[in-house]
Amino acid sequence: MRPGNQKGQAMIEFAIIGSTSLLALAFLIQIGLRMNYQQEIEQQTFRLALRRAQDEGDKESQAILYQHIRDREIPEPSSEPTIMPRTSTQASSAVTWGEWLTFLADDRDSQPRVVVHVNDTRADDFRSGDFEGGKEGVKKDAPKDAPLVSAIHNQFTSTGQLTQASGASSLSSSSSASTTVTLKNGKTVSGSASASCSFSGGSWVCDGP
Amino acid sequence: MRRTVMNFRKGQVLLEFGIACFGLVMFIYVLLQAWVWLSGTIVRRQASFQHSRLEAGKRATAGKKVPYRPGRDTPVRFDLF
Repeated sequence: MRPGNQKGQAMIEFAIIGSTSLLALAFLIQIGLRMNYQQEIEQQTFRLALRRAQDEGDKESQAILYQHIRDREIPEPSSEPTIMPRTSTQASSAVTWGEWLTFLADDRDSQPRVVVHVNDTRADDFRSGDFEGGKEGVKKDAPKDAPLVSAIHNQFTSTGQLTQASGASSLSSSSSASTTVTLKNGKTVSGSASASCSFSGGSWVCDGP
Repeated sequence: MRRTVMNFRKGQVLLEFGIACFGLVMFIYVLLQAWVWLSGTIVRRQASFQHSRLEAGKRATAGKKVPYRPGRDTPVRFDLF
């Protein structure tokens, strides 16, 4: 029989190695998913901008500046089990759909369109002139190169419940995000995302982004 | 050979060492597989993006979505044996 102190040492070693291993695996998954989602939003934003530029009328500039924010579910090693926290990913893209040179009237339509897409909300009635100095909500001496987005407010909520009963156990998890973007001219765009998952009877049922 | 306390401990240590080695190898294997899958999806999505560029630039199919979907086109598999 082993002395008591050796048994304790084995337990400690197992606890250290086991938790370190799980932490390494969790971090790998977290970083991998984050990189994947970032690549996805960059590609998707360019294609959405392309589509939107093509949809413009012949008397419009057919130029788009697309700002896209999506709050994705990415697990974190530091969060509780069954919780699926969200992380914000964002990308922007500028596309000019030009098949020929156009000479437009010096009006609102001649200005590039600015689209702000936050989760499930897409605001596409902004024009680049709306953000120039002196326009509504913009200071006259505001620097021209100031970023389009001046503030982002995220509110993420995640819940999880594990129920164990004799003969059956079930697990349910839900997460939601509400994000508000404040633009250079003081206007705001808000969008939300929510998803829920449940495990019961040996199968997962999930819905939502 | 006579069964002594020392012999018994040696056998146990060997057994523990074997189990630990197996666990370590399995852990590295799972870690590598996860990494290969995650980095592979990035490469495949990029290839899919490049292959659909011409179509995405045509007026009829403007802004075509990138066709690659990781979970469906590249299922997570751990081919152990």
